[in-house]
Amino acid sequence: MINESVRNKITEVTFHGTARLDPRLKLLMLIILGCVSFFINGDVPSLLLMTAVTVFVAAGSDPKWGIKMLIIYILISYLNICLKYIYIPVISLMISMFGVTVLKAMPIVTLGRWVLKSTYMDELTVALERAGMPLTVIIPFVVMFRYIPTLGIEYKLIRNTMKIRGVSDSFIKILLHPFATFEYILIPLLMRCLKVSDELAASGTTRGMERTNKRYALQEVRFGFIEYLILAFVLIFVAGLFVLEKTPAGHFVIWRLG
Amino acid sequence: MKNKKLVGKDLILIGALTAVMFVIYMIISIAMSFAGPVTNVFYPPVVSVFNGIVMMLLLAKVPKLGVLSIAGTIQGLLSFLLGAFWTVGTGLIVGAILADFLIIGFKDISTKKMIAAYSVYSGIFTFGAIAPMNIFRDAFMALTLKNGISQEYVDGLIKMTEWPMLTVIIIAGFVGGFLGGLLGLKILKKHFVKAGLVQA
Repeated sequence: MINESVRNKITEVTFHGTARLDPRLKLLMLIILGCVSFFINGDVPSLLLMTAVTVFVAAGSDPKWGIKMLIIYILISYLNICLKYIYIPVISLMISMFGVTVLKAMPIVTLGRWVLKSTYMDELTVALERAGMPLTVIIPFVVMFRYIPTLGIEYKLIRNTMKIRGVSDSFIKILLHPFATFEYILIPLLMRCLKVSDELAASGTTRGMERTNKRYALQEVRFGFIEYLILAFVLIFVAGLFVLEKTPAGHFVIWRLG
Repeated sequence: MKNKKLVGKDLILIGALTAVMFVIYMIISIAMSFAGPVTNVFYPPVVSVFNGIVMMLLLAKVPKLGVLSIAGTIQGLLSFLLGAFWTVGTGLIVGAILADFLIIGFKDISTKKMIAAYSVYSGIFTFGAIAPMNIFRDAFMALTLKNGISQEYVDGLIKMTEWPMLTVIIIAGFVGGFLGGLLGLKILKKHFVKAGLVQA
């Protein structure tokens, strides 16, 4: 009896649904989606792509992020179209470029952040190792994914300290001393980075990261039937998007004024 | 007798600092492409100058063969993911591996070699990022137009990448790497050596 509850506690996970897929599948989807997003240009296929990503993310126990991104996407699409009617010489160019880049990047960013959040690092290591990648590639990759959120936190901490000390805290000060500001942010960030890496290395070595034996994971990491099914589904969906783009439905402009 | 193989500790450092470099690369490339075609074509040299600081730190902490290759390859692969033109990532990967094996090579590293290798890497990266606007002009411009960017911007890009200007840009790439390396070494001495985090 006690064994049962202990076993339940250990195998308990916070993520459900699609988050439990094999990490390799998630990475593959991210890559496919990245390429696709930059080739699809019609309004309808792009919106479909974004909605599909939102549905996927929502099924993976993170609906708020998905829906938030979808709303921002729709807002920016609309704004982009409004811009075609108001023409201010230089700013229009900048904003339209910015808007287009943001729109293209949205599905990737949505899926990417969700993949980062929902994948356990040890599962990722095991999955990559089973895919046959050498250790020299797996470790930097996993460290990078794990480190980017930490970077954000460190950056906020550094900015807070700068504000307390009155260093480059207002916009004017940043404009007047751009390079100094950059130096004051980057150097502490790099020093923190070194410290964090040392601690990570110590912790990793303790966990046997450098061993070249075969690895196992507590949760099942398997590229099984469901993974193949979803992969097939994704490929069909992508093919469908391309076909849709050729048909008149692809050129249908959703975002219209009046 | 220093150990030449890449240990776990080194790989972790490579991963963390590559993350920093990639974030800097993204911020600068988006900011500069935003401001117009004139600045857009100069984003690789500028990225190299700033990333020089991080890269010099990485090479100083891990003075081994393979560091530059791995860092460059990861950045190249990530740039594929984020949808840059296929030559950008290829330039990064090829530049990193070439610079690593040709210059850093199998002997001991020195600061001169570090700067030289980084300049070569930066030059090849610039070539890969900007030359397609001239060499594969039609494919590149067609793709950019399809993505919804206005015709003026594209015209501006075409004007900026005519041959004389293109050589200037490529040379700027090498110079940017050189300056980035120098800047990195200076900052290393000024901050990190004093703090004792890096040996001189």
